[in-house]
Amino acid sequence: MTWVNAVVQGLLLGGVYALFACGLSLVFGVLRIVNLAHGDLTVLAAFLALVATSTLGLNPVLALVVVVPVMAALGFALQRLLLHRSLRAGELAPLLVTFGLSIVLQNALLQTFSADTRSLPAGDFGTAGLELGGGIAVGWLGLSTLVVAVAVLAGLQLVLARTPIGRAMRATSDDPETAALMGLDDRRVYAVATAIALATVALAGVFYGMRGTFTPTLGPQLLIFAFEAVIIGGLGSLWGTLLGGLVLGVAQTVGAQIQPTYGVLAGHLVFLVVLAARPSGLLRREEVR
Amino acid sequence: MTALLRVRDLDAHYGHFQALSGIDLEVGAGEAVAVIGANGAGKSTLLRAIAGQVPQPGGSRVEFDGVELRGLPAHRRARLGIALVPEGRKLFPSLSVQENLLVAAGAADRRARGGRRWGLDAVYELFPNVGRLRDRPGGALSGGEQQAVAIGRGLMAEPRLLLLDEVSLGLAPVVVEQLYAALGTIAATGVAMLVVEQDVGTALRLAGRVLCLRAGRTVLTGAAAEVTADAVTAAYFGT
Amino acid sequence: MTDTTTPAATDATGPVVVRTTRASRAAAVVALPVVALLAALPYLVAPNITRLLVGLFTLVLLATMWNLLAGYGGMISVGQQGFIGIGAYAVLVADLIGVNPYLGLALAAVGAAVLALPTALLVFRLHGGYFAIGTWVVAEVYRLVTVEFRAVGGGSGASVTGLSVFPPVLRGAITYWCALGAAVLAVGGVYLLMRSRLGLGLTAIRDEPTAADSLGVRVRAAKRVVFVVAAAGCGLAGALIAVDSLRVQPDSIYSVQWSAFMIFMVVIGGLGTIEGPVVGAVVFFAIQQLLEPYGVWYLVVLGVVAIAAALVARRGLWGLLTLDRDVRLLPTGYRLRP
Ligand SMILES: Nc1ncnc2c1ncn2[C@@H]1O[C@H](COP(=O)(O)OP(=O)(O)O)[C@@H](O)[C@H]1O
Ligand SMILES: [Mg+2]
Repeated sequence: MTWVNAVVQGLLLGGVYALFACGLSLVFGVLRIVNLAHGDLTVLAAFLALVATSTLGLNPVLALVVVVPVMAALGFALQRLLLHRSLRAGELAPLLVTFGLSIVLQNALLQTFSADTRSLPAGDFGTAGLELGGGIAVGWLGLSTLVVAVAVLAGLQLVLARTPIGRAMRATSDDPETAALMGLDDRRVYAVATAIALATVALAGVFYGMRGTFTPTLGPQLLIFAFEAVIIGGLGSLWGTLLGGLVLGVAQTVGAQIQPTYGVLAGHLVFLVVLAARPSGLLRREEVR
Repeated sequence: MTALLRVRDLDAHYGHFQALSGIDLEVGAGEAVAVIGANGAGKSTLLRAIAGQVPQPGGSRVEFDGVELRGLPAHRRARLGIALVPEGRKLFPSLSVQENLLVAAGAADRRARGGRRWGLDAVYELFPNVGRLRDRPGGALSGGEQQAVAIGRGLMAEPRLLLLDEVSLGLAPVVVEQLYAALGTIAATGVAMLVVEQDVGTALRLAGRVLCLRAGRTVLTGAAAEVTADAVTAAYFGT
Repeated sequence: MTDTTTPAATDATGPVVVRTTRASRAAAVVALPVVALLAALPYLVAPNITRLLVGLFTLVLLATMWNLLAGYGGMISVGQQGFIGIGAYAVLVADLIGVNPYLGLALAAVGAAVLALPTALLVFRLHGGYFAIGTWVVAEVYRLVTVEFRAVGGGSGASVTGLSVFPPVLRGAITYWCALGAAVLAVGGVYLLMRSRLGLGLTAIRDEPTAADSLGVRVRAAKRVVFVVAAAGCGLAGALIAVDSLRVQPDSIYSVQWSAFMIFMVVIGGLGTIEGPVVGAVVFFAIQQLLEPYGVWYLVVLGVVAIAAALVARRGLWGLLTLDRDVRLLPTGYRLRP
């Protein structure tokens, strides 16, 4: 039964990873930039929520009302001020710039908040859950994280497929020069995409902060998990990203069941096996070119 | 009558290479002008400079409807009513045919408040086969179909000036025939056109005037009726 | 390149030979005495100064290796700490089995290179930014596997004990010579590698990406060589860190911070030049020494500077310097007068 429980908990954990990954996936899909500061931005969102809960006395879930718009605005500004210029400064520049940003964020957080371990106070919501019998309990928090992840991915999919801004994002991603001939301002389209991505990052940061603990230097680890979810699922497929997150979560909890120190390692190994055996990911659609 | 498009002393550079030198050109409202010339003469560069894809040097002037366009990026020019149908069609491969059309409609949103001339229905009426292909991905079409979608996409932006770059390139004569018939219909609605072709005969089916480029310079201009085949050949090859 | 009708082969070697002759003349005039002086330093200055310089030489080695990857190979790696860690642990292993830890330096370079081959097989399936994170995952795997071994101290690491047979002053001097040798070997080696056909091919592809397609297979092979060489260099650096600090701690030796340092040094010094990483290492080292007492704000400052350099000064400090020199080269006659 402990194994079944490990899988169930892994699926719930996978919900967080899928939530981490969708922002990374969106920015890559539209801007063709791999944002190496993605994990640190997630941690930043968690700290913003921490400040909001402690100064305004808000419940972390209510803090989302503040944190999501702030992160979205930050995404808009980030694209306008840094990423857009980096796109014009050569192939390596976006990576160098986002990595520099990662270091800046990490160390600024470290100086501001110290290296202490924090968590967001989720109250009863964080501890209560559903007894499924046989020693398997599903926490409300974990369950709602998974539901939010599925909702966010479905919402993103819908926006991309059905709305004018989603269409504009796909067109600009295909060919920004020609998109401009159609009256699309690539700066604006990219900025909107980055804003949406950082809104999902805010969600991910807050839910992660309620589930467990975080420190200013956690960002790189989160980036790696998001990245593994994206690659396991298949680049450019949002449902693949969900699947990738779930596979990663299950790999980690089952690995930890074997021996506690094997959790993260097991996730990495599953990632490497997928990379070796099926480099385009589990759900990669064949691209129409 | 003032010209819709007025180009004065236009230069264009790619790095140190000068692709256009001192081009003068006027296109009246509703008028069609042909631009001809051999490969590499600078025809595409001329259209790209008007559309805002090539930087405009200080001394050059490009006026559209009496407004100087210098410094205006391509997307702003598109919203003013300049639509470029680029060489090679350049459809968005991950968008369906209908989405390819819709993506350009936004360019006209502000100007078209009083009512659209070109919506999906009008484009499908003009190119019936495009309507049948509406759910296909933009990347999975024949050359002629792609060209029809590219022209339709340009129309969705409600252009006052349509810039057409080598519509006939690589297409069978019957297909070119159909496309030019459609372009005739478009011209009749009062859309001005700048038609780039390598083949004089094709271009002159629409255009009343012709401009011939060689090595980035104007080597011949005149009314279609007045330029002789010999003059064109001489201008074209520089003999 | 004025005569485009010259066959490509002579076209490629012609001007390059001229350039390298000039460069090697400059190197002979400036670099050789400098290296000779540096080599004599243990006899001239106090051990704490040479100890500091070991840190600097290690940084030069690391920066040069990262520049080889990114500046010439076009590969941004954020996982070189994996090979640094492997190198450091190679010293520990050598120590454990009773081999002189200085011999462990060679073992470290070889071990890292050997491990780089299967690593390349995996990470070369990824491109651009995903390649970067892929290398990082591999480095994490190295770390997580390493801490499973009790013999090398598990999660808390272990000390290098075999060096206690040397008197401290001699040990410091040997470590210093090893570090100096490694830095010179790295800079000289990359210089020679870039002069070779492999290097010329890489440079040609960097400058003319359309050529890459026709040369696809050879490019892959060249990139693999670059990856393996860079891994060996980083392994050597890790070993130097181990023999210098006499202690290996997994979380710090496998820290992504090393990648941050390498990127800062190369981007600030000048990506894709031989001299840039050296300049960058010196500047970084100076900033680190001056500002480290004030906490990690110096990393924030360096991050901002690196972002600015990546955006506006793509050839970094060295690019700015050589631009100056080009300007000064024009009025040579006046320059020589005093
Ligand atoms: N992106 C570019 N970079 C450099 N040179 C270019 C570029 N595009 C075109 N050229 C050069 O400019 C000249 C004019 O090109 P173009 O306008 O495409 O000619 P045409 O359309 O008449 O065939 C040619 O010599 C071409 O090689
Ligand atoms: Mg052309």
